[in-house]
Amino acid sequence: MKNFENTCDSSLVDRFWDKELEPDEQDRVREHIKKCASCQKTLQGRQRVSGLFHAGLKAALSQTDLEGLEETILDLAQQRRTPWWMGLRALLISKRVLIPAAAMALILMVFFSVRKPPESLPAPSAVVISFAGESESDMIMYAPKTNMTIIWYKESS
Amino acid sequence: MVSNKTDQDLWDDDRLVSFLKEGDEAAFRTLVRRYKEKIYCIAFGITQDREESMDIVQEVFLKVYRHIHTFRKEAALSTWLHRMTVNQALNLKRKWKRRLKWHHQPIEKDQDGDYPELGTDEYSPASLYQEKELQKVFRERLAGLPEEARAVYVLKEVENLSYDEIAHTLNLKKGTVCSRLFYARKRLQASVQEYLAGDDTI
Repeated sequence: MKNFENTCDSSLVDRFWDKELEPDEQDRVREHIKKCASCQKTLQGRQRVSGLFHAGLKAALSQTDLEGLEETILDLAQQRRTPWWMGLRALLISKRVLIPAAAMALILMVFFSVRKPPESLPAPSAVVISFAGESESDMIMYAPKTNMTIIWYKESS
Repeated sequence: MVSNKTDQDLWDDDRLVSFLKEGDEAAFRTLVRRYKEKIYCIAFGITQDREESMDIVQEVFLKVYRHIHTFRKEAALSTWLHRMTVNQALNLKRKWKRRLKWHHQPIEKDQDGDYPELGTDEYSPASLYQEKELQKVFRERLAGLPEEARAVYVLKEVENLSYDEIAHTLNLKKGTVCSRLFYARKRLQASVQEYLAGDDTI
C-alpha cells in the first residue's frame, strides 16, 4: 500500500468501504479517513450515491407485482412440460425449422425451374430388321437434328 | 413428479438443483420464490425499466427450467443465475431507445406515482422536488454508464458480492472489477455532485 497518510486515494476509500483491504490496511485507512475531510467527503458521496440506487430500486419494487410474475413463470413452465411428440411437432413447426425448410424448398424450386432440362434423345419407335412383301412405294427420310430415320411405305394391295 | 416435501424453502441450493434436475415442480416454485426479487433487482439496476426487467426475470427462469440439466455445479446456483441475468439484460441493448424513453419525460408528467407523501414533517415540497430531480438525474447517469461498468456496479450494490465473486460471475479479472467499480462510482458521484453540494449530509 502506498503512503496513504499523505496522499488521498479514492480507489482505496472504495476498497475500504467494500471491505476488500487486508485488516491492517483497513485500520490504517479508517484512521486516515477520521482525520481527512476530503476522504470523508468521498466516502459520504459514495454512500449517498448508493442510497440513491437503492431508493430507485425500492420504488421500482413497490410498483412491480412480483407475485403475479411468479405465477406467470410457473404457468409458462407448466405449459412447456409437454410430451416428446408434442415437442417434436412444435420443433417442426417452429420458425427455427420451418423457415430454413421453406428457404431450402424455394432454392430447390428455383434451381430446377431455371436449370435447362437435358435434351432427350428420342428412342426409336420401332426397329425394322427386315421387310417382306411388296410395296407400292416407299420413302426414307433422315432428320439429323433429332437423329431420326423415318421410313414411310405403302403396301401393295 | 411432485415432491411430497413440505419444507422446500429450507432446501439448500445443491439440494434444490438435484430436485430441479428430476423435474420437481415444487423445486422450481421454490427456486422462483427464492430468487425472483434478486434477479429482478439486478435486471432493473441494469435496464432501469420495469417491464423489461420482468421480461428478463421470466426469461431467466424459463432458461433454468429448460437447461438445468446442463448445470454442472462448477459454480454456485446463484452465480449461474446472476450471470444469466446480466447477459440477458445486456443482450437487450438493441432496445436502447426504449430503455431510455424516460430521458425525455418531464418530471411533471411522471405517472409512476412514486412521490413521497406531501405535507409530512419530513419532507417539504422544495426538498421533495429536489430529491425527485436528483433521482431522475441519477437514473439517467446510471443508464448512461458503459454497460460493463454498470453490470459490475449493480452486482455490487444489489448482491454485495466481493470483487472476487463479481470477477467470477462476469468472467473478469479482479483488477478489472475494481477499476470498473471505481469508475462507475466516480462517474455517478460526479454527475449528481451539483445536487449533493447543497446537501447537508455530505
